Amino acid sequence: MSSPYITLPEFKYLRPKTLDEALAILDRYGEDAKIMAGGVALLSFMKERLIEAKYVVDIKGVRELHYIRFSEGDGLRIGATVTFSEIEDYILQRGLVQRFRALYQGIKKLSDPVLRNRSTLAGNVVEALPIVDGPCLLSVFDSELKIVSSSGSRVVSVSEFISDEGFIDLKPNEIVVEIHIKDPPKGFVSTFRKYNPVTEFSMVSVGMSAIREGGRDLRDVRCVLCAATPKPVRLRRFEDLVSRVSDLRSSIDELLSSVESEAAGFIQDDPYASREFKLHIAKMLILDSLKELRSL
Amino acid sequence: MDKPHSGGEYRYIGKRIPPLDAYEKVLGAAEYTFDLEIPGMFHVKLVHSEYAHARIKSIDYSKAIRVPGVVSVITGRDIPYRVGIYVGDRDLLAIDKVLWIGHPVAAVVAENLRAAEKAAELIEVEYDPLEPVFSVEEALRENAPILHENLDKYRRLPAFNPKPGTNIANYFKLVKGDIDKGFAEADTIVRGRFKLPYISHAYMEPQVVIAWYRYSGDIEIWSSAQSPFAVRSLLSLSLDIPAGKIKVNVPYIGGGFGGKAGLGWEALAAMISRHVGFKPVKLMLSRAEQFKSAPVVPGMVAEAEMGLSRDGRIVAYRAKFLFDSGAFADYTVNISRTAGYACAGSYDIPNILCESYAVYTNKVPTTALRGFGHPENHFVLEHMIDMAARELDQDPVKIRSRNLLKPGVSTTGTGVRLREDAGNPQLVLERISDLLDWTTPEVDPERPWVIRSKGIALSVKGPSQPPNASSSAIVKFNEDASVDVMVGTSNFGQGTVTGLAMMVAEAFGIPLEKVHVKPLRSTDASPYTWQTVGSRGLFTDGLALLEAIEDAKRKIKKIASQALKVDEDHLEIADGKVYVVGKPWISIPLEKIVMGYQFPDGTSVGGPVIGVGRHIAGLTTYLDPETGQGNPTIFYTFGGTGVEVEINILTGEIKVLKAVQVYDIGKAINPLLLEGQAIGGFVMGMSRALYERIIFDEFGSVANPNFSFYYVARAKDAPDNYLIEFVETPQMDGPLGSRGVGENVMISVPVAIANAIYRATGVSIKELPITPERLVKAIREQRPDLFEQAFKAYIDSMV
Repeated sequence: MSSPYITLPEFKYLRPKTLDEALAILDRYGEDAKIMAGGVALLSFMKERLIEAKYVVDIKGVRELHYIRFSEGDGLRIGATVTFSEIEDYILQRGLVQRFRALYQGIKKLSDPVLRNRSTLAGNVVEALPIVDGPCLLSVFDSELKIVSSSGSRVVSVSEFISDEGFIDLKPNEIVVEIHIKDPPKGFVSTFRKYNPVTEFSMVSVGMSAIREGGRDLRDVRCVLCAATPKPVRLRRFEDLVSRVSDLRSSIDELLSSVESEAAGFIQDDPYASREFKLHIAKMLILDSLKELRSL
Repeated sequence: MDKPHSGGEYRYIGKRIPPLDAYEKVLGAAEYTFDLEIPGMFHVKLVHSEYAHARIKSIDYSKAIRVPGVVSVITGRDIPYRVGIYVGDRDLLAIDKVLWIGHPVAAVVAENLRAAEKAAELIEVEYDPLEPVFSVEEALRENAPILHENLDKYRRLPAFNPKPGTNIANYFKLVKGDIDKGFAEADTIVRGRFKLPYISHAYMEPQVVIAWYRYSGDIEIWSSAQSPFAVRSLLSLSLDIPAGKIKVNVPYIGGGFGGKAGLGWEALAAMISRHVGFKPVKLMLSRAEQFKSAPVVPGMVAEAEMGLSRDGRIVAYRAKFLFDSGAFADYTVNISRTAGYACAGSYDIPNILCESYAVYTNKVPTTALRGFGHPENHFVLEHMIDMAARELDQDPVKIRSRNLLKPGVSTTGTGVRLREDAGNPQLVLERISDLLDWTTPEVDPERPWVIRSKGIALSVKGPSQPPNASSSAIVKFNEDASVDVMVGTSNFGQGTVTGLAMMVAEAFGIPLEKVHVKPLRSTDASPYTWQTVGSRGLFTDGLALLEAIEDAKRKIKKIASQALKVDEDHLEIADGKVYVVGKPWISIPLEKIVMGYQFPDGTSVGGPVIGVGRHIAGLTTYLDPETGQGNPTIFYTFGGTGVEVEINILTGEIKVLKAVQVYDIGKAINPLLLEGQAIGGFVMGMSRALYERIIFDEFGSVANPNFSFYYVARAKDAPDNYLIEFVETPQMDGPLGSRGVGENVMISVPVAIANAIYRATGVSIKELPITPERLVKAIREQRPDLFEQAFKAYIDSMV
């Protein structure tokens, strides 16, 4: 990031041992308290004086939030303090790579191992900026967040949770405690592509999933465009179109122009790439993803 | 140095020995200036201009001074000094005008850094905006706003030629032969316009200094600086303080790459220390400040034309370089001068006209970077040669071979006949093309939208230093016949000191563990060297050290001759002993000599042995102000790079698969560290070719002052395959025949990559970095057929 500062501002560090304790702290201090999981985003923003926190509530000591579980039919349930590295190991060791392929690919491409050892999926989703991959990866699947406060709990889908770049549906007294990635149906295939040769962050990412039932044709295609867009964007007309395609070659132009018309409104110039180039790369990544899902 | 008596082979020289400081650094135990603290020390935080060009109307620090812990606020009017190494155009804090966004306008001093940072936010500065200039072209226009109205009053060295009343900080011209006649004789002419961006040194340790101005008038400095003696002499000159009253200490340095040469923030910190009542103060920059407020690397635009005969002889070369020096050109004037005098590279060109300018703009000031002037002029020259080769339908290797300088025969661009032991450029070229396996580009059969291609570029580099630059060295024996090696040259990763220690161990036949080179350099305790820059350290300080070794040997032999009752010229030193030539069984261990020899009856002769040596540049000269002719350098190191790259026509992604580096270094003192330099240089050059650029927004502010958006090559980007080879054509007056190479290893890398792309596609990219977007755009403009064909192949692969 680009802080002119070397110091962090002053704050009080709190390390609750239970979820109830953490929630009580939020009730007491309201907006003055901020939850820290990995701390990767929070501390950077605090150093830049973009987020103020009189109390930093480190939930890494809350044992009940540190778990990953998988069961057939239910899917993956990931606690709030689980790091990307832990998810990566779990998926690999439990033989779930094919089932959650896009998630696994995305984690492998996420920053570097040092950061993945620290950074959490829940923290990533709460950050909700285009530069982070977590929301994009979850959007490829049916995923939900479990949110609790001292007065109860609720479940919200990732797309509802993030309303715009950096804007999330979370009250100062709430904590995201669990991410639920639903078990994909039979024949489900997925892939994640990230294009980042210009900055550390992705310029354009594409997550895609589909159902394959023998043959190369895809149905129920889901295509999520990220990084170049303020939040993960589903390209629904493209999804419909591609799910109905029988002759890919003759449909390429039509598919690409549907991508263009759907995505164009979300993509802006920035100092690192023009809108036109991002759109070009988005199309290339979408073609790449189609090609891969058809050949899996 | 004689080969040792036992075995006849070198024991250390030429061996792969890890750097002496590796363990301390890897364990995190090495102490850098950033780590140092002095009890009672104050912290300094700078306040930065928000305007690119403006008069300062007022600075209100009434709120800041009330922050608990704040001691003082200082502005430019309190300390109206100008400093600099070549042109003294830098202020310590903006005096009445700010010249770029990020220009320090005030300094807050506090008991702790957090208070200083908090107070800095509360300072209110009122400005009267002036019209800014952001490009060299704008700055050179007739009615352009002038940044430095008092340019003629600044102190400068005689080699530099500013144009007062304009934004030209330096103008240099190289004239050889008759340029018009040369072009008139040419059968073909190629032309190009080139552009390089501002970049960052990206060293790991940002600039940091601790200064303590004492009541006595003595100043002590601790700084992350490359050249403590240059810091001392420049402080002395610009603050008018006797050099002997100033002590500069340099502990471990977290990288420099030229960006910590000359003078940094030492003068500011020293004056602040005095201002706050003679207390030690520490000023350390954040990474963002390092990008926005501290000197970075200049951008350049250039135009060039090259005339050739039908058979591929270069008969005329004209180039014009405009360096964007930003608000201060202090060191950058020498970048422009160097790019000018070295513009002809490794080639024998009869007719040359190279003009070079350093031009002020309202952007971040600039300074030296590894090889300065050379990456820039070689990017132009070495790409022009590939353009000419294509135009003439000749092979890029052969056309280079035809035009190479011939040691002992050819004269360089500056009109000096190249010494006959200057190296073997033909062999260098041959080895690069052999190691690279110089084949034609190939389309990947599995992915026909991907092309693999090879490119090469040569480079030549010598130190750019004043003609009287000098060095000295001391070898001081300890009681156990171990040696303290004292040199002025600093160690920020090059490996020079390990090489120097190996030379001492070799000379006395003692274990390397008994040779001590301390990390700290200090103007009080270290012998003088001009600067640690320009790939000069091993050469100049190495020669001084060899002289010191000889001096110590003479003193040892004198003592031993009395002890053994033989003439001094019958004695030799090896294996830690002095022995009689022809009768090695008659010997005395050094331990018994180096503190003086004591006879059995208690009487004694000699005394502690200290050897002293020096080196001065000698026959190098100033360059003629009209023609640039003269002898600018003490050696030339020839070398070059070959690359194999993989280019994705559709996405613009470029992956470097293979790196070939060949340099004629005369003698490889330590091949392991040489390879380390070559790999580091390659990756740095590759990073510059493909990724690095400081982006300025429309107001002149740095848009990407961090390593997330200013991308530097990571491990994953580096090639897997390195083939590095050193040619050893000894230079008779070099230390053990060697020449410097620390900078040369990165100079030709960017252009070799551009040449590989050109060879694969015929698409010429004359602007760095070669981003995917730039490449795809260029392909679609210059070779739409190639793009269409690749896209079609891609679609075919899908269905």
